[in-house]
Amino acid sequence: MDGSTGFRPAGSLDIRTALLPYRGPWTERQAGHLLRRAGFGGSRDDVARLVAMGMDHAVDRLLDLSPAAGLPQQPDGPLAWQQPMARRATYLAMAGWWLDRMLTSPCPLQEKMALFYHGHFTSAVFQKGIRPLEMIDQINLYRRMALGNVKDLTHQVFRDPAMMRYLDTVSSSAQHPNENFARELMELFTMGHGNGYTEDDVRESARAFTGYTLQGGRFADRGTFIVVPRRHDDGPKTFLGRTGRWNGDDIIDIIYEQAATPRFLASKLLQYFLYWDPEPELVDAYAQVLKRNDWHVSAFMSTLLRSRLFYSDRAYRALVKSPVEFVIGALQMIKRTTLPEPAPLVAAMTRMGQTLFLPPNVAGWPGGAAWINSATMLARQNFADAVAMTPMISDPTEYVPGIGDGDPHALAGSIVDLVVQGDASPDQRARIAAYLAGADDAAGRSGLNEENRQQRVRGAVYLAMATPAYQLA
Amino acid sequence: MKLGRKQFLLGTISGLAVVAGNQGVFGKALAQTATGSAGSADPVLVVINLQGGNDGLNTLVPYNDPIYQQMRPGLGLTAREVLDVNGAVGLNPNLRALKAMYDKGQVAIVQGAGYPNPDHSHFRSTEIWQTANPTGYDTTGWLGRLLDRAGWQESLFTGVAVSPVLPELFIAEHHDVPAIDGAARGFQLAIDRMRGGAREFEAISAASDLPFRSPFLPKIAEVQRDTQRGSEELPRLIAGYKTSASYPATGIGRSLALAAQIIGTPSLGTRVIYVQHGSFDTHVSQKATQDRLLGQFSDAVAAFYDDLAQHGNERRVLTMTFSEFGRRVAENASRGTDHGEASPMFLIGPVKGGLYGTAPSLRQLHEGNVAYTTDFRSVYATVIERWFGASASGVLAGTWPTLPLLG
Repeated sequence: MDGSTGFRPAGSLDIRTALLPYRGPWTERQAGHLLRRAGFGGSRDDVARLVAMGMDHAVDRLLDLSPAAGLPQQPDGPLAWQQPMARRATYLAMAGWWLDRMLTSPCPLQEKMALFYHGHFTSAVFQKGIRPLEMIDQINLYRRMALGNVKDLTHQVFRDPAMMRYLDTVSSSAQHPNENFARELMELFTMGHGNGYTEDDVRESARAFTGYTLQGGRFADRGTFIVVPRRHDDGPKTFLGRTGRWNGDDIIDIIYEQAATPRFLASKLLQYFLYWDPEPELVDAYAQVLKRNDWHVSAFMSTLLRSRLFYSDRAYRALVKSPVEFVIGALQMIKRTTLPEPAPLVAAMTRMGQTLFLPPNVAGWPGGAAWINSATMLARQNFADAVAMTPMISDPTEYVPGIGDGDPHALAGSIVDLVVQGDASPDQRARIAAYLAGADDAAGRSGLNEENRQQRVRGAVYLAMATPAYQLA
Repeated sequence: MKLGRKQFLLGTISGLAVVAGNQGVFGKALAQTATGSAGSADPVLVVINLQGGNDGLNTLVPYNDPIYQQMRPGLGLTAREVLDVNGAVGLNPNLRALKAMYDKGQVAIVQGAGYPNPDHSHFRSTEIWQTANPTGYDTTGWLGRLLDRAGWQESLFTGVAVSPVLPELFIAEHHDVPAIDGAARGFQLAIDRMRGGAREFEAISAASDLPFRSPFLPKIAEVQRDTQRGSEELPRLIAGYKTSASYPATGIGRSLALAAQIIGTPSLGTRVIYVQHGSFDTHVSQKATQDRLLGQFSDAVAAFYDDLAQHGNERRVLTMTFSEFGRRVAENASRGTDHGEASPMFLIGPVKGGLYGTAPSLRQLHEGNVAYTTDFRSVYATVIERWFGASASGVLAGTWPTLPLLG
């Protein structure tokens, strides 16, 4: 089930122009693509605003995270965690808090990057004794550093209490060094498996990651990072060819001197924001962007989101929406300004294969083709149905432009534009129009009329969401 | 023709698989229907996951052991309460129906099943039991690997999970197992609510003539199309199944009833079914919860074998339970127990009934927990080799002695 082969877009890369600024048409198609990638898709109004700004200003706006400064830093309520029975309520409060931010934040790229880091520098709430507030602090760290210096972020992740528990740094001592963090730091977080480090390097760096722990005790809601010198191995270590009395920060610095590191990070970001299995020359080019800009992700994203390759046909609809994107995107499309009850959303996303704050393991969510299988497709379809058909969730008069249109073909066109930005075949359009026109409704009348309009429009919106394009970002 | 809601006997499909080959996956299942009752004699395994960590000590109870009574002043079961098995251990009184099956030789109990260096995390320990890998991380599950290697007749439904989410044990390289939520209510494909919707959905799932390309289009289109066809067709295929067995109106009752329907429709070619029950994670006030869950389990399994017997299938279906861990010997301060280690596995149906493995010693605890005496991979190997007659090579790492619990 290796999803990483065979999903690079067809056609060939022109590396000479790939990173050059895009100067082509700027319409709903390009702006919609940008907002699906840099956010969760947005509403039609959100897309229209980006169209009006022009591409450069639209990207500037997405890169500016200052409007998000005042958003709530944690969920309301007590967030109890010690009794297993209290955890469900706490979990739902956390999920509701983050889903609400994803739905309503003026800075969608911040939430999208936080989601990326959540699946990259992974930890999981309630596992290994991770407290809810520690998990929340970790997500807030990813928000603060969303477009910042990823090397600095790595230093902070090392000290992050949730991470320290998740990968056992808390109990790693000179007497019993724990290799878990040292290994995953290189394998999953910076260099990639088999990209220039050996088992000796893992062992030596594990010695450096000793003597760091958390104080606060068994009942504290948050641990605090402390250093315990007598538990730290300060002897000389040879790591990636360099010898010295390295500590944890030194190890991270040495890792960031390796050629593999910017390539691995660039490759992960490209696979998340551009397309699957990016070509080696492209990875190299973006690795250089990271290095030349002192590891600032803002420079990486600024280049990517303005580039010709980003707006090319090859990159268009080239990614599968993750469950979180699928759910939030649908809610934004129907112009929800408040989050519905989180419990059904969480249940739906879990059936689609993604539970926030609980990645399946330290490698995070594989993504891509792994989102599409027998156990997830019906969950996606049924969620789309619930969004389109349930009065408590959506009101088509609020979000379907042209709903009053008497002509089923025109109305079908509006719905296709709204839901999939026009990415439907002539046959799909004709079928949605035929559905709207209908054979007979319950009362035996044919055609679209005032009594059946709402219900037909709901059904037509669902049909548009059922087209394969809707699964793709 | 559209099926009304009440014709969905129990549950609906949660999703269907894409199997290699140019005949749509569902086409293969339908084609097998036409050729008759292929597979009506093939052995079937039903795996029941007692989720959350079932307390083995109050399931198969060492009621005469003074250490047990001392460490469980509140939770301990007495000689008078248990259903005695051999004078040393007895079954929890809520397992009455299961005990009746045990007395007929239809239940084998493997005592002290577990693995070395046990993990006490639900996530990690469940993963270990499902991937059969206590020391590393596998991306496939043990039954997924069996599906990939056993060489059984290709069918969409060779493995079926009766659960809302696909369990890790079914993740395979060349099979995509459907998850059918047997206990769900109102979980249906949207198309059923719309007149003519089924036709529209099928057409709308097509990926031809689109104004864009995407490397994911073929897979999405195929999975969508098969999901819709399966949701219409599977209930029709199993609709012919009739039974007078009386299942309890519980989640596990419904799940096993659906399992019986699937087994009773040989054209589906099902060989392995997964069912789950729980949560047994009884940290607090254990007695009420575990009693209820064990009673539900016992009654549902008895109804299931009654149903199978009515259709002549009771000798070809082996049922096996597992749980990610047992629980600590000492009760905690909340009249419950915390995560432990070894616990018994039940094998039900065409077995040589009795107790297997070594009764774990309460004198030699492992950090306050029942230490394992039989590695669960031996039980898996027994099922793979002696029940299915398949090779465990490539399914389980290493070689494991099998237990003589099958005929």
